[in-house]
Amino acid sequence: MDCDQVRDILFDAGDSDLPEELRTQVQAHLSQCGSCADEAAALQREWDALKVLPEEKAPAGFLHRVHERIEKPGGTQRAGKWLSSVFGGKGLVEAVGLAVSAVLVVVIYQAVTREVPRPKRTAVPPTVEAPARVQSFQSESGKGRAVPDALQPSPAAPAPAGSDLALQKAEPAILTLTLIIPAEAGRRHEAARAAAPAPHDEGMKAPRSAPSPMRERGVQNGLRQDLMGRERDTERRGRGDREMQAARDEVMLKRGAASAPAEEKERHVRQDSRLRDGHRGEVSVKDDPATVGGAVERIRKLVEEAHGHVAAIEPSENTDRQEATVVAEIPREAFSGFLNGLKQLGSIQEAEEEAIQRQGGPTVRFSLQVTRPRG
Amino acid sequence: MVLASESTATDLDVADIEELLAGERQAFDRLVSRHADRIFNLCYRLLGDRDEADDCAQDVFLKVFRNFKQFRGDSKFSTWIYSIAVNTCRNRRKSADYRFWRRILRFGADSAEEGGVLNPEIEDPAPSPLTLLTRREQEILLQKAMDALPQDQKTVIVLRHVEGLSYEEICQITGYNPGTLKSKLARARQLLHKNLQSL
Repeated sequence: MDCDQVRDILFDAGDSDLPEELRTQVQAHLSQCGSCADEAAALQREWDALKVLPEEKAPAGFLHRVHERIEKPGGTQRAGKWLSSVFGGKGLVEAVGLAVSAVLVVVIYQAVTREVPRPKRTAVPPTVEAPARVQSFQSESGKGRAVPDALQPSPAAPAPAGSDLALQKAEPAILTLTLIIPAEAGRRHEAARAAAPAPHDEGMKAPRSAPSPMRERGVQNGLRQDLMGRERDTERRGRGDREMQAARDEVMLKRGAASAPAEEKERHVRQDSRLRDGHRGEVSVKDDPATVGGAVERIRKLVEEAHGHVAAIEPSENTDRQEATVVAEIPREAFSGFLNGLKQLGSIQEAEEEAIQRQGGPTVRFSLQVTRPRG
Repeated sequence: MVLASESTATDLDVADIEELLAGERQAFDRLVSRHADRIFNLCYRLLGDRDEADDCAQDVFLKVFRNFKQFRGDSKFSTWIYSIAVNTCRNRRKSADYRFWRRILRFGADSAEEGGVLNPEIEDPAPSPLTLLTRREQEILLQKAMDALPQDQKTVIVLRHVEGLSYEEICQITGYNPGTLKSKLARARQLLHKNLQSL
């Protein structure tokens, strides 16, 4: 056993008793090594000195000071009492709870009101002037596109009977088409109407050689409302229903009474009687495609012929033109034929082919704005 | 020095704790009176300053008063209050306030607390200071050498060699396992011896 080993043992053992065998070895080394013996003696004196260190007495009045500190609230207690007075008796925990609740409310409010970033616009077909009561239609490609708010198709809109088409739940891209009915057609039509006015009901008894624009607008508004009401009713009963067809024809009869020449009115009456007898007649509007209402009916028929369905129709009024918007969806393979049918009604500003292709999916969904400048 | 290991003191502590739990405030006063000197002495040895020790010892009894319901009786009351004192002193030495005042008071004096070793340049060629100095001087030197120890080593030295606690009690107070305690004690003895030799 060398000196380093002996000194390590001395420091490890301290004032504790060593095992008998180890103590013998250490004492054997200390008896031969004076340096280690002196070191061991010094260590023992140090430990003895530590043991006899005088015990320091607590200063006088120690218990009194302890009592004072117990009675005297500390800084935390003072803060708690202040908070209690501020929050009407609620403690620190309640105050912290209130603060946390306030922070949570702010965070939730920011999360709810945070604006969802809009996707980039991908399809920009030519647009027309936005009609009144429109909203920006936010869809994948329709940022800033004008679609009436009432025309926002509902995902829950029922698909037509016998058709497997349905509006996509997630709003797909929508095309915007514009059908412009020539004003000349309207003027020709109005001229014929002026030549042979035939009052049909009480409100139309007065002969009209040249109906004022305001009066015509009023009639159109009435027809439009009537048509929309019928549309809503028939939508509930199911498209293609015979009753729905009769309603459309009835509307057209009214409109014919207001604006069509006598022979046209007689044809509507005949058709109306045939409908009442249970016959499905020709759609009367095909004889009156020069008006917006007639064009809308014609478009509806084109959509149905293409095995599509109309999601919504909404007329709108403008100072210098009559307008209506049709939102519909038709199979992709029938879309070109549908466009050809539209061209029979007037000039059409078609969406770009690229925009149509970008839409994807088995169907093409579009918003068709029908407009006719006032003569 | 024997702690409250006597059965009498332990029995008194248990009785006072029970009375304190029953709402008897005077039981707390008896506990303070019985342990104040020992706790103050421990704080003084660990902190090396009477005023600091006074303040720290009051903190200890304040904690006892506020937390006596947490004393489960698993260990002796003296062990429980010693652990409170050791932790209170440790936290006080860590506090910026304590370090600030220590720095101000010791400004200009030789202090080698950093690293726990006194400046070897002042080593005295005399055989041993302990043999030359009086008892009071020995005490001052010992306290100075202990103050130069790292806090954990100082704690185990005080608990073992000043307070005379057993290894088991020190493990309960400090939370060290026996191996760690033995290792810390060995290093503390070496460093303390080195410090004393350098004085």
